[in-house]
Amino acid sequence: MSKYYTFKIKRYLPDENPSTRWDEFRVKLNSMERVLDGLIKIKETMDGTLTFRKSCAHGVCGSCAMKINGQNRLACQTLVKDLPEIIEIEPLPALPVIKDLVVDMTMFFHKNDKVLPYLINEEPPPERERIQSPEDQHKILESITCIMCGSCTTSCPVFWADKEYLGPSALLKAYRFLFDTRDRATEQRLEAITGEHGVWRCHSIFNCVEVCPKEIDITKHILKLKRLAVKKGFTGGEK
Amino acid sequence: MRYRWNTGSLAWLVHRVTGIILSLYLIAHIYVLSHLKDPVAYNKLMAFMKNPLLKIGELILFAIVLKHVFAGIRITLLEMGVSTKYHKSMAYVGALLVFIVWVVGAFYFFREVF
Repeated sequence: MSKYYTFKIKRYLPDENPSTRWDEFRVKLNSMERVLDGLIKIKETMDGTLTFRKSCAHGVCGSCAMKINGQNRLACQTLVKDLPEIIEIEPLPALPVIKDLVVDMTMFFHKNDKVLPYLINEEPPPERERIQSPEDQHKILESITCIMCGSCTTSCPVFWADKEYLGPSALLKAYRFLFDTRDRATEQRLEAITGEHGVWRCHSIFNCVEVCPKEIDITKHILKLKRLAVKKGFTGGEK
Repeated sequence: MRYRWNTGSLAWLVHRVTGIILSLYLIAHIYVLSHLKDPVAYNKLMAFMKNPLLKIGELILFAIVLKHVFAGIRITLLEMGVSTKYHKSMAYVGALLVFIVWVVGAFYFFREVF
């Protein structure tokens, strides 16, 4: 069953106007279509200047994360039938906007770099591979499903106030390697996440958990990181 | 910036706001008490504190203390390893306990005044 939806989109076209404005578009969509389908229809048939990121359109690449009706979500994973008739769309909060719904993710990816997002193991590699048992893999299974869309970090009030804060996404990545039984850089990793803008800034607000399109309980992982840091004596302070 | 409120973020906000109010209250409280060196002035203030309007103020303060305490207990339990699955239920149970303890406390407050 098709129905008309009003897309209220926050526009920012720096070449035309340095300030933002709200544009409205009426789009006919059926109940199985998603916000992303609406945006594509607008771009193709109403206003070609509308700019947004999309790639896989199936909840895997994480490109189309945006603020939809006051909460971060993936446009490709949000069915219009689950939303009211007026759909308000804004870019992800707290990141610099490049154009319309496209934000500059440099700051976000830079945080990821800070937590050393690669396996560190100086031991000589075995003949075939570093074996990981299914049980060991299960320990990090939830954290490896992260698609790095940025919904969590940009929904976090701590990040809004402190742009240096590592944020839920990078901390989840730190967890993914700290709890990987093949990794040997526990101390180096804990050092990286227990600084002034690290794990202790998390106040268990759960905004990240509410928005994660992969339904990862990020706060649970961050709390485990805090307990590990205490156990290993990395309590921050003058570090 | 507007962003949708959730149980977790509301619990955090209330915890913060009550914390700030209590900090300001404690500063004022200690300042006033530490400057009351004269027994006559002290007794006068204590008599003034019996005013029913001030008792209502104390009841509001009591509610703020309780809300802050139970929010703190919830966060401490989460930090200590209680499953995050229960974070919403813990917030609701906390609010209920605040109400129950406050009602019981208010009963004793009023019994003293009237």
